[in-house]
Amino acid sequence: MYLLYLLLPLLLGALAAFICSFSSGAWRYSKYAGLGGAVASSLLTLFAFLKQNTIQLGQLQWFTAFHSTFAISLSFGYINQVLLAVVAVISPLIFFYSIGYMDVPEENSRYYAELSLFAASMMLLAVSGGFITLFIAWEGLGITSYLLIGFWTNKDAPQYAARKAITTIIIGDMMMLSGILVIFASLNTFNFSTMISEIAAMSTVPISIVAAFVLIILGAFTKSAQFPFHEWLSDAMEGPTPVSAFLHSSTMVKAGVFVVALLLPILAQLGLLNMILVFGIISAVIGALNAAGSTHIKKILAYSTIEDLGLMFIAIGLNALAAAMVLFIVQALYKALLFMNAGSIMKANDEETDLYKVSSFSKNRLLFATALIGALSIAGIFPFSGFFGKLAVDSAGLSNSTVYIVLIVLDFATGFYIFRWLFIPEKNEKKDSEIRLRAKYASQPKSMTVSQVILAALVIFLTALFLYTNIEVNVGAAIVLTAGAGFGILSAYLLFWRLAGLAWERSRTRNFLSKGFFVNAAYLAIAKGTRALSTAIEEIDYFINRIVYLGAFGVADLGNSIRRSETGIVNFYAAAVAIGIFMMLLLLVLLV
Amino acid sequence: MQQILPAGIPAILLVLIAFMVLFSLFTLLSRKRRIYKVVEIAAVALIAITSFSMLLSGYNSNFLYLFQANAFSELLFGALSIGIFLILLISFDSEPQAETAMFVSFVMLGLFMVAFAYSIIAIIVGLEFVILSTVFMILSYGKKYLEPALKLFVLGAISTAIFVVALALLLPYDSSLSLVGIAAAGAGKFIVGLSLVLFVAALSIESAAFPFNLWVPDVYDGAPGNVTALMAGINKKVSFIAILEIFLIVFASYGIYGNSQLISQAFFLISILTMFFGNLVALVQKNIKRMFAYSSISQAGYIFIGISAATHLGIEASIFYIIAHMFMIIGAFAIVFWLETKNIRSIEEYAGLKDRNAFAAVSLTILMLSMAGIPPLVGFAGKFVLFSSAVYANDIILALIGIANSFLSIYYYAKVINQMFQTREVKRIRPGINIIAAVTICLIFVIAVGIYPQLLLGWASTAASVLVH
Repeated sequence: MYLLYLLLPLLLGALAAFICSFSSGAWRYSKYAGLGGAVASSLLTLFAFLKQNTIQLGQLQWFTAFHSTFAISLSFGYINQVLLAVVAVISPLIFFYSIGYMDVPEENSRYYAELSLFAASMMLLAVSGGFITLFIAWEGLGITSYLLIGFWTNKDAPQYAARKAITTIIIGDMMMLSGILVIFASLNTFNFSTMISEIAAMSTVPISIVAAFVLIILGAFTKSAQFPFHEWLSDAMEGPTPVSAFLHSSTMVKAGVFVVALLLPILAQLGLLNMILVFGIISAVIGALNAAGSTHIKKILAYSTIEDLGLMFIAIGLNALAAAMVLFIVQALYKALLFMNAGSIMKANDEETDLYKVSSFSKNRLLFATALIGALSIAGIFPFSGFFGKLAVDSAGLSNSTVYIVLIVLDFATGFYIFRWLFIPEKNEKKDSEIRLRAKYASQPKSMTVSQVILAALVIFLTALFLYTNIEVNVGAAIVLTAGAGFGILSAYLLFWRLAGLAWERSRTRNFLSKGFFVNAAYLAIAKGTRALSTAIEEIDYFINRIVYLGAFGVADLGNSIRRSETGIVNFYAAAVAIGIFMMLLLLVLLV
Repeated sequence: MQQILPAGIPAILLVLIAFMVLFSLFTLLSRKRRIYKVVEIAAVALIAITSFSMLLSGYNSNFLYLFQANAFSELLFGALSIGIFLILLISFDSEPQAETAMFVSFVMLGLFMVAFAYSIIAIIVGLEFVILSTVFMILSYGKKYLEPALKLFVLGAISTAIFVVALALLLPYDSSLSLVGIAAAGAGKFIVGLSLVLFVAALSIESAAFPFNLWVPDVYDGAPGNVTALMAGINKKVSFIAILEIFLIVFASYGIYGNSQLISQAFFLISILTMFFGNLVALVQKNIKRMFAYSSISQAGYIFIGISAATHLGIEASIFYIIAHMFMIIGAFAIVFWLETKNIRSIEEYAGLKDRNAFAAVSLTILMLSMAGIPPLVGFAGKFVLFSSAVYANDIILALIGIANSFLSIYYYAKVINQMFQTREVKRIRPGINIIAAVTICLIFVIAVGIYPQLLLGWASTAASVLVH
């Protein structure tokens, strides 16, 4: 039960911020409510890690219906701990960063209330030990993500982006819930550990259970933005930057990886790992290629997140859980850091997002240093912790030569696009307002700088931790990784530093890559189809109405217009009743 | 409890209270005299409390050859009395006061007759009471409401006619007309089937099942908001009570009810069609009342899932959802009604509601999220149990279609929510204390029972075991 208390400070923070929104002067306290909640919750988490042997994992009885008990079950296993640690480390930093970033007084309370609710859902997800708990948290993530992406209500683009995200996520929720119900119908349990042991004991698994787990994997793909559900993530960048750093790179998008990791023993037994592997590869490749094509300062990072998540799924698909988890941890840190850097740049450039229009990182030395640490880490250069994440996945990939070749290409691509991201602004033409810009860079709010420095320090500190724990390193894979990434960085240097990138930027390849492979067009076609169906049903309704109306027009008194329309419509209703009875009689004759 | 409520007293007390309220209003209530309305609201609260105390004390009895009290009737009557209490609360200030109060009392009487029915006669008279008094209530708001009133009247008359024919088919086999008595009689399978089909048709008109529900959007849209709340919150639920009683008691012993039987098949189809019809058409609505009308049609479809499952769990889930939906829809219509009096009707006009009134925007959001089935609100718990019951009855298809529909519904709710939370330059408005009180009661129910459904589920289970053994 202790684990549920982890949520409490965040929920209280959300409540306090929400209350602040009703008073005109209280908005300035809402950020402290949010930050206080996040810090308290992280301290409680730390305490949980220190005292983990004494934690009671009782089930909270929720309700009973017929012979089944529905319970909130909790768990504090290895995978849960990984996610919990990531959330607990990142969330206070994000709240702290937001204090500097969100300078919109009247909207502050809403922002912190929504962000705290999100963090609470994330904590609940991290401690879930069964599908009920998981699904409640899962829905909480979907809703808060929708609210936060569409946070800027005065602009249209964020609203479209939010709608797109919620559409994709709801499709995933639907598949998830269907899968959960089918599993419950056949196994009569929601609990992960019971489920794993029950399925392990089966000699042949019914096809319905396999189908249910396929649905759950697909549901996980929507949250984790994997092909073909990945397009919402880049649009989600319309939300405030701390939100992108928190939800859409380091925590929420990991929910899918988390679920699949929890269920890994079952998925391995059912032979579904190849499916995960294939989708992981497709997504990683698409993500890397799109990142190389985009010129949006945040979207490049978003596509890169898709690639990272794809890498995690590849590792899981190769049944290398430990490798996936190492990447899981290090990716959260460097990606949150890079997003914060992007946010700083945007803030100094009046929310400009085009790489070719913003001015350089190096105007603020500290900013450039942290961005460089983040970029080197994601590229996989020793001694930054991203190296270990990439290396773990590469080493797992050694078992399959095709996968390994893809991984090497991805290493190259990552180095290429992330340094493209870093170099292009450096070479932009000098602006007239140079002095003003410099002042803006220098006057970056302290809270933003401090959180970036802390994250950069953590990225390096994690390396020390990995070295201290004496992990096995495959030297060959390490050399290949460094060579691949180095070659990528070198290409980026030649193209974007020496040649200032024109050859690449004007090439047809880049133009094609920036189109996003027409996935969006496919989405639109599906949406249009549904819309057409909905309208068609209403049209049919009107059409029948019209026919009956005309019929009534023929028989009724022509002069009496009121009577004509009224009786026409009521006739129609009565006719529908008669048709209904007729259909049911038909059913009766067929069945009796 | 048994000492406080001696045998036979409570049920008679209920009837007396109903009549007292009725006649006191009829004779005494003059316009603008609020004290009588307060008395009436208090009386309704007293009735609800009595009903629940009967439920708690496990009171069981037959009386007047027409009525019987058991857990099922006490729970549903008690819950729906709270609904009527809320309706009176939200229409506290609306003109014409006397007629509104009077016809609501008639509806209450009808509700009592249906919920406590021991004889089918009680059900038919009760249903008539409910429909006709609603018709007159709509009419009492003025001449421009003639159209919805007329439509409701005609459809109500059709419903009654079909009901009576259905009853006539069974009459030769048992003239006692008591629910239990008819159940014991035997008849040819085809005659029973025919009668059953007609009963389904008659009751589906009021409970808004496809294709008997085409009148619903017109009437809901045309009628004043508080009457719409009454129709969606109470009238529809009354016919669901009648459905449960007739199909589970009368037809149970014919062996025609049960999984994979005719009636389950019929409700299976009705449920699917109703859900899809309601949700798909709601997607393109521009008027908020029509949207809620179609949404409440689709919600009726969910209730039919449990009835189709025909198990103890299914009936329990249906009872749970009947009560849950009553609170959600009355809360929503309370806000819609209040905004209607301020001339805010279309979804577009709901833009910037949070700037007009934050309370209304937040509570309408919570209620709509609950209808869409988002945890931890009551709509989620209800749908969860409903879909589980379908899964238990091996109707996985029905459960999956239900899930698909509940996600479909998020779209039109999200559209309204999105509108409400946009920033607009609008004038602030404040609802009366009665609207705030009614909505707050609904919100407390939606959140408290959503977080801890066992509160209601235990009672629903007891009530379901009266119908299904």
